Amino acid sequence: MNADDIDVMAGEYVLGTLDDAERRRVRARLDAGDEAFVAAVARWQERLVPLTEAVEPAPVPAALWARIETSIGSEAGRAARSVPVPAPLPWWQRLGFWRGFSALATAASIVLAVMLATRPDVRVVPRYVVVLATPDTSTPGLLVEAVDERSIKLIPLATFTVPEDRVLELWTHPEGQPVVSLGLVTPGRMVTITLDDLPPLAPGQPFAVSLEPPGGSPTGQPTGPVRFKGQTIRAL
Amino acid sequence: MPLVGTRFRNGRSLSSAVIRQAEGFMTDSRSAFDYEAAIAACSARESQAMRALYDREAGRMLGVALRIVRDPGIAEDVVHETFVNIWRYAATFDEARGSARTWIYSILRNEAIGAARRQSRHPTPAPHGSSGNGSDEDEIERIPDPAATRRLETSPEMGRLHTCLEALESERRDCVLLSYVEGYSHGEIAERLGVPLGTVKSWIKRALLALRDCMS
Repeated sequence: MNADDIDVMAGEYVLGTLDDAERRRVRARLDAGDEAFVAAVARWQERLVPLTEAVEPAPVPAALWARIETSIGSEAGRAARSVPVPAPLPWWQRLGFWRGFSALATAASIVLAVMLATRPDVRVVPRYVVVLATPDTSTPGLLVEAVDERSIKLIPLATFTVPEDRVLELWTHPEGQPVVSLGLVTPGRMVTITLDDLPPLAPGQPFAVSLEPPGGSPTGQPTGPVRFKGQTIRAL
Repeated sequence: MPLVGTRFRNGRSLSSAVIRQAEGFMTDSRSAFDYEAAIAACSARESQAMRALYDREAGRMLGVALRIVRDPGIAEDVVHETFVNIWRYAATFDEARGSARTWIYSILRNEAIGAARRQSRHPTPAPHGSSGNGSDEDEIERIPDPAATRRLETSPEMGRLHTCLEALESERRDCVLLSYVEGYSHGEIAERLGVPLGTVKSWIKRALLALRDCMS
C-alpha cells in the first residue's frame, strides 16, 4: 500500500463508506498499532470534524442525562469501592466461567505438542500459548501463540461459521486491568496482533472470542455470547 | 473496541493548524470552553465535568447522530454510549494525539456508523417517527433534504475545510457530505446520485486526495 492508498482507506474509514469487511480490516490494522494507519485516521478525523459544527443541534430529551448519570454512576461506584457489585456480572468476570480449565489445559498441551511436532521449521519456541476452545465441548478452534512479549499470533485450528450479521472479537483479561479487545478475528485467517499498551503475557491469563455486532462490540466490553475461551499456558 | 478508530498518534502537528483555523470562526463562548480540561476532569472522575460537557455538546451530538442513524431513539442510544465511553476512557485520551473535541466526535461517529450498519441489516420501518403510511413514504423520508446539504456546504464555521470543499467538483463534494454527515454507504450514494457504484468510489477517492492536498 502506498501513501495515497493508506490515506484513501483511512479517509473512507472516517467518512464511514467502507463495507463491513473493509471496515474490519482497517480496525484490525488500527488494533495492531499500525502507526502509518493510526496517524492517517487521526489526520482525517481532525480534518473533517469541522463538518459537525454545521449540523443543526437536536432538542435533547430531559431523560437522557439521567440515563447517562445512572450508567456512569454505577461505573464510578464500582471503581471507587472495589467491592463486588450486586448486579449479575458479565461472563468474563464470572469466576465459574474460567473454572474447569485443567482438563482443557491438558487437551491444549496435546494439541500444542502435535502442532510443534508437525512443524519442522519452528525456530522460535513461544513461551506461552493459548488454545481457544468452545466452552461446552472444549473443541479447539484457535491457537494463540506468543511471538514475543509484545505480539501474539492467532492461528486457526478448525473451520467454523459465524452468523452473517455477527463478527468474532478477541479479548484478553490481563491481571489487575479491565478486559481489553485485541481486535476482530477473521475465520480461517492467521493474524499477528501487537499487544501495544498491555502488560506482558502472564501464566493463566484468560483469552476469549465472543460474537459481536458488525464492527465489534459497541461498548468496548464483550456483549455477545462466547464462542471460544482459554488461558495462557507455558509452552513445552 | 469502539475506541479503536479514535486513537491519536502523530496527528497533531499536521492538524492543529486546521483546528485553529476552524476555531477562529467560532463564537467566543464556544472557544472559551476547554474540552481538554473537561476530559481531564472526567478522567479524575469529576462527574460535574461530564455534565458541563453534556450541557455544551449534547444537542449538537444528538444532531450529528440523528443525521447518520435517522431515528431519534437510536440517536439517543448513540449519545448515551458516547458519554459512557468518554467517562470510561477519558484517562486514555492523549492531547498529543489530537484535540479533545475531535476525540469526542470520533467516538460519537463511530458509534453512530456502527448503529446505522446494524439498522440497515435490520431495517426499522418508521424513521423519524413517521406515521408509517407505507414504504414509499419511508423511502422518501430517508432521502436527506438537499437544502440541508447545501447549507452545510456554505457554512463558514468549517474554515479551511469549507474552502477546500468548495474547490471540489460538486458531485465529489456531495459524496463527502453524504457520507460524513448523512452516513450514506457507497451504494446509497450511487442510488441517490443515479451513478454506478464504481463512479462513486472513484469520486470519493479523488475527493479525499484533493482534500488532503488542499488542507496540508
